[in-house]
Amino acid sequence: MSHIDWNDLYRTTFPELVRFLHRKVWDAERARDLAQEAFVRALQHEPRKPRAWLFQVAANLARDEARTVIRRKKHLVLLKAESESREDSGKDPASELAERERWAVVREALDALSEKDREALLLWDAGQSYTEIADELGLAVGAVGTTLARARRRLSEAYNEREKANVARQ
Amino acid sequence: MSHVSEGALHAYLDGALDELPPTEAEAIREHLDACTECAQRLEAERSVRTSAHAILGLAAPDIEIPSLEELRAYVERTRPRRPVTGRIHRLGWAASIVIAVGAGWMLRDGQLQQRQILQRGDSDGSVETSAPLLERGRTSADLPPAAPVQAEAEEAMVGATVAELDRNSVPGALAKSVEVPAEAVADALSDEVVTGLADMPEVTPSAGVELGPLPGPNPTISPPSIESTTSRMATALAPTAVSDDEAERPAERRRAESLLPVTSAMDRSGSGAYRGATPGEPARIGEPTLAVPGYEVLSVTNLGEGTTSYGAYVIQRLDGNTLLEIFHLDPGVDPGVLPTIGADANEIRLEAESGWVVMRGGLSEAELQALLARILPE
Repeated sequence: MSHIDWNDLYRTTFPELVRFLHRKVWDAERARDLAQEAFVRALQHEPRKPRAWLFQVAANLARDEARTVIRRKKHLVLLKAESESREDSGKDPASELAERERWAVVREALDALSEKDREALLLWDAGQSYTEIADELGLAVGAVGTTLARARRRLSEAYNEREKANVARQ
Repeated sequence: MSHVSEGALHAYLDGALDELPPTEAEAIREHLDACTECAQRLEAERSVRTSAHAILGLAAPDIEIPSLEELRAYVERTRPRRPVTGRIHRLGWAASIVIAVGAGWMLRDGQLQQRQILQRGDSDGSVETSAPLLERGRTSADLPPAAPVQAEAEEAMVGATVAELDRNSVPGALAKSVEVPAEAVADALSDEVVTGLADMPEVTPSAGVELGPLPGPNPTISPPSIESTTSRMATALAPTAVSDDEAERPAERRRAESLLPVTSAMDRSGSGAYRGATPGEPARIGEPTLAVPGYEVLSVTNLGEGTTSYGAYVIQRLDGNTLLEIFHLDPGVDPGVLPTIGADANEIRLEAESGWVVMRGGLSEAELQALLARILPE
């Protein structure tokens, strides 16, 4: 029975999972909560292919989140240290706002992609390999490159369009 | 010689050629070595790739990573016998509706019965919270987060529902029982507001069901009259509030977020005959959700004592700081395991084939029903 090195997996995959989730729920804390939830389940479930499993679960959680707004308060137990560090983060409202505005543009640009293209791009950006992406999206490995090419092009176009529109408005 | 595809260029840039069949990878490498045009295309694709990466980088969160040890310890501490999400059951409509109104009505197994008024003595100010088994046996859930919620629950219940006590006062002695089909009960509850116990598309309405005479002197028997609750519902159920007109729109199938149309009318002539569908074969319904969409969920925990699991317990915050409790009980678990409901709260129960679902809150029965409908799948 293969032994999963959880420490290693966690160290590498947790931040990737958060990054992946953030582009879905657009809330850093929720992304972290969901990433934790995915890991909690992985620790309970011990899947054979943990990375693929984690991303799949994370995607499902994000989708369910949008549908049912289930929030899990229990993670506060783990994250109490977080609130302390947040106060020192020096993030003033203005920069917080600016950040959110940036996110909004990226979000809109991402919405311009087809779901599959978007998923592929987010998975890649979160560190998944072509094989993993192919597996998770039901594509042939050879098609992943094409999908990513299209997604990247479309994202750049969409983003630039919006940036231009924003600038024009100002 | 044919040039390499755009996809191949990106695979090259992504360092993913090794994931392709070796001969293919080799062919791509060789071609890129030799073909200047493709080399130029490669650079163009490189900048597309970099640009996309930079854009995504703008939306990268800045977070603290909790330690794996803590995560592990947490998993150990809260290990349920089954995952909470696995506990969502298929709800059937074979059984009855039990509606407990704070002031002492009960409809159980199709029979209207008077129930002892509970917790009236608490009018000295202390309100028993509808706290779940957190107090009895320890549940497998963590306690600390729930504690502040309980305090809020107390406040909410004391504050929010004094008005309901008046509204819910028992009209009179209701000694006898009457058979009431579940659906007709729903109709009875909705004077002003049209609600229903969800569409039952697979249940064919049968002919009128003959029933005995209504109990007591009051032929328009129903659970304590509900004044128009539309405005309250509008508040409680916002942001998906439904106006009167919308609510009375006849039954095209609507999404679970909205109030559901009534599907039959109750005959109030006093003859006791109720038209309407009787619950027939349980409809094959997909999984309901744990919680009502659109409202903050404060906690989702497991119910149980020691190693015995009773089910799942959800607390949500509705508008106006009203709290809603939802108990998803395991099959065979009787709602009697739940703590007695406080005087200021109402309760609605649905017995499904595979377990009880109980909702409690400082709301009217109709409101609770509407919320219950929203967690049931279409």
